[in-house]
Amino acid sequence: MMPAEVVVLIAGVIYKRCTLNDRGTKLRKAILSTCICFGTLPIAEVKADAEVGDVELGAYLSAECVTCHQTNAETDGIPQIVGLDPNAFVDAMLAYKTKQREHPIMQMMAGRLNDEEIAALAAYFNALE
Amino acid sequence: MTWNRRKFLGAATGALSAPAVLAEGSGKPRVVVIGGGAGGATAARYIAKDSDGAIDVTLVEPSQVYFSCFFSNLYIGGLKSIDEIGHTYGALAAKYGINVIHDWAVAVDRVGKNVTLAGGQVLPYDKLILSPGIDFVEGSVQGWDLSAQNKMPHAYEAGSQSQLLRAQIENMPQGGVFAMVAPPNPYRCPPGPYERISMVAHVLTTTNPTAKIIIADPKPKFSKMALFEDGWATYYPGMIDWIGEDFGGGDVSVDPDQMTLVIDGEELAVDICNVIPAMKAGRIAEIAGVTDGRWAPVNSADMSSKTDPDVYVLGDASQQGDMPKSGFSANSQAKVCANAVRGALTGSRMFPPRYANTCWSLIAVNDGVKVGATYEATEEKIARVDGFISQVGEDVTLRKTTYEESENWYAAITGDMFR
Ligand SMILES: Cc1cc2nc3c(=O)[nH]c(=O)nc-3n(C[C@H](O)[C@H](O)[C@H](O)COP(=O)(O)OP(=O)(O)OC[C@H]3O[C@@H](n4cnc5c(N)ncnc54)[C@H](O)[C@@H]3O)c2cc1C
Repeated sequence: MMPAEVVVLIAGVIYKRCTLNDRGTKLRKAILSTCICFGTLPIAEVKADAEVGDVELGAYLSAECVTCHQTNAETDGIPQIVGLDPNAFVDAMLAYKTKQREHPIMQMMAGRLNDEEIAALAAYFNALE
Repeated sequence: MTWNRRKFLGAATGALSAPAVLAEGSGKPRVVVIGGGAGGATAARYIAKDSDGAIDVTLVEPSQVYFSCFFSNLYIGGLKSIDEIGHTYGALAAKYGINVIHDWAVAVDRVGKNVTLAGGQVLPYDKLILSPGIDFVEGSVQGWDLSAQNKMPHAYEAGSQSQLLRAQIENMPQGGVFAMVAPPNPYRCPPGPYERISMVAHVLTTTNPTAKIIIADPKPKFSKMALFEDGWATYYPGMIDWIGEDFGGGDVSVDPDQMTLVIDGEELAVDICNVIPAMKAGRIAEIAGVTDGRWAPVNSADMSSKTDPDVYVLGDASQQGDMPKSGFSANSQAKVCANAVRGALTGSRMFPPRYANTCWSLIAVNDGVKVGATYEATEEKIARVDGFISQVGEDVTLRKTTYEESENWYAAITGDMFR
């Protein structure tokens, strides 16, 4: 079986190639064929690494972010996080978590995320692009 | 911006379990949501969006346009138009396939598992979500009932009530008196009455600078009190008089025909009287038999009713523990509930609950403050974990940024409910 990291990376690459209009179908086909080739994705084993975050967990957790972060508009206040580079995302969250970056809401929100959850969010928002 | 996450992982894991429940007759499980506000619209949207057609979602809401209470004070303050706080249900129907029915739910049969609408239609459900907001407790302010709301508006459900209050302020005689009867705890939006006072004072300072504002309050203190009092002294000096519990602020009666207010035995002639009575869960929660006293107790793990595991209660109507009754809270609870409902009906992956809230308030133009907290589900309740509040004496740039943040939040949360 292929390591989870590689499967997710391949899935990510295929996903990014999908057009905006037809994401769902193309994505499903792409992932399906990836899985047929390489077996299934062992979610529980996903490491706290920005590149291989648990996207479905990220999707769930992201619901908390999008109450304030708009997903479909450019804003000059609360920043756009869709499509953010996963490493930049992780760095920002860790900076809030350790209170090196100012912002009471973000310090509070990041403060209760563990590494796996941060990685999951990073992967999810990166995939949304 | 949406793509199908469930199928993404479903396909990737190849391990979706079989649906736990299937509605009899139809191939799909059915969810009925009562109330298209902060809790209900969010829950309907998330269940429909994330289940991608696997669940039949019906949203019952009498109004064609939802006027959000959040930012309705800014409308009263002349900083927003009524259209800016109005939202329609078109995208929920068109984009997510939600069956939006504009009607009142009038009965719930929890044994037969169906909801009856005022128009006579009967909607069967596998899971029922109630997010009907609040109703007022009859007799809580002596002399006031709903028939007086046209003379003494509450403006605690937004729309025509907000328009009425704003018109009254615009037409108030010079040097007149604006009175507010503030509500007892617990009620929707703890800082709401005081943000309203700030916005009324903001208008009067320019249009009617000799006017007075009196607040009769049954509470000894209120949300963000130090911040509001500091702001009122700065921006509206001498205009606002707050009469708390200690000074008889809880002992009030009104006479809407005479436009008088009696506070602790002393009668006052007022030009405007904004009566915000005590609150309880929206009536349909009581009709459904899931209330205990004024509110509907829920389990902290998934917002399911303590009375019936197939009924969920969100937002203001629920009694859940430490979360304030806010739009932010209702939206947060709705997402936990949506995940649980979807999991129960389709076997989709379930995640642990997590809750959060932030409430912004505007004290004066560009002077915003905020209070927020995170919460976790304990055995007993939704319990506060961590939090913060703006501080007295913050610099003007920070206050302006905080206000701008609230504008962004408003756009985001209404998008998260309706678009
Ligand atoms: C002045 C003011 C300012 C506020 N400011 C903020 C703020 O800045 N931030 C914040 O987070 N919150 C704020 N709030 C609080 C927020 O508006 C509420 O907490 C939130 O709307 C609660 O959501 P809900 O889903 O419980 O109820 P609602 O949003 O009120 O939705 C309930 C819906 O149910 C419908 N309904 C009721 N009964 C039935 C029935 N029988 N059948 C069908 N439909 C029914 C109603 O028509 C309504 O649309 C404010 C409130 C007020 C009054």
